[in-house]
Amino acid sequence: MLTRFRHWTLSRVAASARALRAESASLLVPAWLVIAIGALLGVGLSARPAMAVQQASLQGIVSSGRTGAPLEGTIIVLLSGDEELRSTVSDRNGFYQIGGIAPGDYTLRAQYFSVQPFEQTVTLSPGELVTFNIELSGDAISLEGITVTAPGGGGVVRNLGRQRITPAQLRTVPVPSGTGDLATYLQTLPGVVTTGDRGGQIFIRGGTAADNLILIDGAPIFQPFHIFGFYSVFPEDLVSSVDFYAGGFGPRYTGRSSSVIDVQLRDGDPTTYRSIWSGGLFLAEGLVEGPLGDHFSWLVSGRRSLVEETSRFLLGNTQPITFSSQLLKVSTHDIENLRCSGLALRTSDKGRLDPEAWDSYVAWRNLVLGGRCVALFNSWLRLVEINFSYSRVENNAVIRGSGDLLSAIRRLQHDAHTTNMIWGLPLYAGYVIYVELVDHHIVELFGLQRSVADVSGIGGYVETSLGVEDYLEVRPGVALTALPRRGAEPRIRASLQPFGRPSEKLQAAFGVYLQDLVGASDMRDVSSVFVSWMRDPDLPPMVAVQGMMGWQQTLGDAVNWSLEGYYKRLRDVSVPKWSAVAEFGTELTKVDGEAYGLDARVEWTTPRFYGFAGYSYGWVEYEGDSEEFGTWFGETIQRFHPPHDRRHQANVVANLEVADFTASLRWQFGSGLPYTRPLGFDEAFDFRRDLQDVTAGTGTTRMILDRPFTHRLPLTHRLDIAVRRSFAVKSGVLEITAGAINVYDRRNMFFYDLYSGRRVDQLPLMPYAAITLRAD
Amino acid sequence: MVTSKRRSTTVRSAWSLFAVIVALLQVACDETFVALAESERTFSVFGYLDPAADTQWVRVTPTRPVIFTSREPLSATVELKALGSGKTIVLRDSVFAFPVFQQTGADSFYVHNFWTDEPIEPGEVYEFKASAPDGLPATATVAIPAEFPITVALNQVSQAASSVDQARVDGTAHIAFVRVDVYFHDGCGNGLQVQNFPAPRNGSGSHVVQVSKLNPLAREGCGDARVHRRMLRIIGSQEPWPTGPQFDIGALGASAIPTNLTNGVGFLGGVLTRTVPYEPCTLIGPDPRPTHCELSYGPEKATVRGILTDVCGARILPNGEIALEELPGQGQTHRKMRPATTDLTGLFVIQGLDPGLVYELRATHLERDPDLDEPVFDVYVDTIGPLAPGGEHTHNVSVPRLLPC
Repeated sequence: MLTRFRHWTLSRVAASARALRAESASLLVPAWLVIAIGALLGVGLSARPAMAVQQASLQGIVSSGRTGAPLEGTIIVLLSGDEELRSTVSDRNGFYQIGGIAPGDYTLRAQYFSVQPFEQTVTLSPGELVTFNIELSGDAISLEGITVTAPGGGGVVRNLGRQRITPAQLRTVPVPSGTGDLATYLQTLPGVVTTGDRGGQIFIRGGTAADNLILIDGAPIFQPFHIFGFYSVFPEDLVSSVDFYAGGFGPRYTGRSSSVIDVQLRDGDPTTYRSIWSGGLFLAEGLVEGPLGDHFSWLVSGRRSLVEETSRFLLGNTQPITFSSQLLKVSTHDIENLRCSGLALRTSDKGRLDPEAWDSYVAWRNLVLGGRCVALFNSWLRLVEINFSYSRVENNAVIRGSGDLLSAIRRLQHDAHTTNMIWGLPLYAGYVIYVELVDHHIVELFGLQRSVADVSGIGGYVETSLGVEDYLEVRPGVALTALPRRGAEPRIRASLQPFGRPSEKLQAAFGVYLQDLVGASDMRDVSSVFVSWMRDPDLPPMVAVQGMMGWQQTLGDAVNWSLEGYYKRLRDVSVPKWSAVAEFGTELTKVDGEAYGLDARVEWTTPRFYGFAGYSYGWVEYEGDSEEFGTWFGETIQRFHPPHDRRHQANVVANLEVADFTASLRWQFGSGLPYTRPLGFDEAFDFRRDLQDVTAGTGTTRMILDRPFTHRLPLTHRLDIAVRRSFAVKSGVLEITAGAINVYDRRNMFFYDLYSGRRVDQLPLMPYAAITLRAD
Repeated sequence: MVTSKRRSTTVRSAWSLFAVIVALLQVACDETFVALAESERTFSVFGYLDPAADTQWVRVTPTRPVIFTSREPLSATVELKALGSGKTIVLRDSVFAFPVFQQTGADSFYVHNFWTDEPIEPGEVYEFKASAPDGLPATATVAIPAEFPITVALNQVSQAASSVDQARVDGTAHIAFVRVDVYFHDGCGNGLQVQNFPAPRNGSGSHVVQVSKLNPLAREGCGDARVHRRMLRIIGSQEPWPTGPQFDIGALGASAIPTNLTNGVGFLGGVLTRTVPYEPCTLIGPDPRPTHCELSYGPEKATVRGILTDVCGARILPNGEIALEELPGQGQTHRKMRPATTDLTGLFVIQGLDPGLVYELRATHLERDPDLDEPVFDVYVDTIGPLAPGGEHTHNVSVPRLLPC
């Protein structure tokens, strides 16, 4: 019976191969890849039916006994006597499942970091699905995830291309405030490039800022990083966990080609009213949370920058940058097998990146409304996650008093994700439906450009997990899009423990990633943070085919090192057409590209010390037909390194506990970013269409530029330090932080204003202090 | 087992080493950033030389490091040297101020236009040079076309406004632009519109240009436009005129931007603008008639002009209808008839007339009496000629009436 079923599945796959080959040309992916992944899915699904009838399954949610918050990363082990049969790790919903278990008696063990392990005997009957929810309690856990007694603050957890980031890790990197922040932490990761200490954009492994998918409790957010580069809408006190993919993400995530930052916020405390108040020279923030009835909790947070007010006496000149954010989250608790939450988030950023450019500024505002429910079922449909969200961002920039740039994107989205068990094999599937309105309104030298596009999207995905014991896991999957255009994005991820030890892991991922949405910015100026969101239905989507492979190893008890290489082929990358005439171009053209690199990281963890050093080598090049640019370069084919192509980057972070103090430092280094070197300014006349009367007007001012991006800005490096001490006070815990940014006062260039000949540097030596009160 | 004394020594040593490394980095990695590329292209030059212009204007701009400008005189010498005659013309600096310039946000924007009213000779080659105390001079060699004749051939197959006429041009290597200046009048007064036509792109020295007597666009609220004169402008050049995206003013890649300057950027062209009347002409005679009525304009050709007036009280008559026709029996197989329309001053001008011929002049006006609904004017007929070579003949006309004054 098994043989007949398998034969049927393979013949079906073979029969559709011809159709797929023909179809794949329009689906923009290699046919062989679609067929290969489809075959893997089919073989995997077909291999189980006969055995699955007799086998049992175990599932459940691991949560905090006090707050009910899901505990991601709990190691679940199924033991038969002393023999370890199967193991798995709970996901971000706290969900675990183990299938294909022979009937019998077992011991179920749950281990969450250094918390006392939980053990329970379970008896499984043939074909039975047992739901076993686990609640863990312990003094060592602060169940909001703020402090977790993980060794040394928490080493990086990587699996299948995903890096899980915890609040404890956010705390290890000095931030000029009382709490850690995801923005600063991400910048220490290899492959993550920023333009400096302001701007709010990150570039990951050769992708642009618009190529990153950022989610907050499942809702998209377009520009979550604040204009002051240390901060984002994700401070450590709000974050439960972050799934960060620098590439190689699975088919659950679509619409972006470079990276995924999937942030889970923690819920409010359902048992106790708490508050956190922090004030310092850079930032003031407050957080209040508590129960709401028997089954709800709430959390309210607000942040506001103080840089503009304090920089005057700290630096002697005002840094005209301001930002703020407000968050409200309501969550359910103690409802069996169901968790729901709703959130409302608003952010506002505004500032002059060049303090002396009085007639220029940039601003953006986010609004995110989201609702999510996660439910556990006792059937083949195991876990269902349903999201509804509305996300909006509005950008605005005024350039030298004349250009007025506006861009907005509004997205209404519904998505659902299921975790299933089909014939003993995990199956992950879901869909997304959205309506998106993209708008830009550009008034500049040559008048008005206006464009509005509304787009509807429908897509779905399926993925499974094929394992051989515990040392090999392969996850083939595919994302399918029906609107706004048909597409298939096959992806495969794998994790191998070649020596049977989880401390030594080889991981790889390969896949196709499509992106329709374009975030155009002025590529001539790397510090230009205004993003014009655009969709052009007449242009093909960007296609990224990328592969990555990495090795991770733990040496002894203290050292963990990893090495990961990646390679991307990019097709139809949208870039603005260029001109030596100063104007924000929204006319797009397409180029192809190539990116590759190597990321290395070493971590050292002891009871009193945690530190890591990371290095990344990156290389990105675009190639396009010169005629497509609308401007003449003198060559038929133009190759250039885009302005976010940082060749070398290094970070060193160290945390040391001495007596009651925690000292931390961060040293960062980056090689120079590409820029286009000019000869100077003149006024030009176009004699192609008529004899020009040079007395009748000024002509058109232009910057005579050399070949694009053939020069590099200076390298940058900076040392930040902080010292922190906590005191127990009557109302809670008082924490005092003092530190300095740019300790050796290095002049790191942020950008050079070619129009005025003025250099704008990043922050000089800037001391700071902050007080944080965590009150019950 | 590590004693506390060894541990504190190790920690001190580590911090000391770290401090040394940081200090070395600070010193060793400090860089001086030079934003602008060094270049020998010290000047940007735009303009053209044309013997037909009373004054030659050339924009000379130093490739400055910032966007802001200055009203201070340029420390530059700009001159033209005729390679044939050896004559040197020094151009003078004139600073123009424009009150608002968006890009810089400054209140005034200053540019330097160098000029001369010395004549530029057709057929001459000039060496342009802009030199400053520092740096190499920016130079360009500009060739001016010699005088070239133009023959206008009017289409006889169709007299419609869109019918294609021809202009035959010999003696200039290239044609840069072809323009028709249309002089008209309407309810709002006199007007001028310039129409562009494609210039042939060949370097053969012999060109056929396609033009049409297109009607001007009506001005809003001014009623119908009546054309009373057209002038055909042929702008010739000795060198191929710049076309293509590489000459876009937004072109990137300074080393690749095409320019005819050495040690500079921009464009300095040499042209000769010839303007001839673009007048209607009809051939009268037996079939088959030639497809084109050819008119050539040269020093030997004659011109007839005059003012059309009402015989009663000498009222000037605009929109009068004039026809000048070669009388038969003068050796032509086909006779030319030259129509014209009077302008708002009642003036008519007919040029390019063959000398030595006798013409019949007919003139009338289509005004109708509004009460009687009958034509007011009769047709004036007279004989003119023989016309002298190169002569300007004035023949004012008092149009007789059909109706009493």
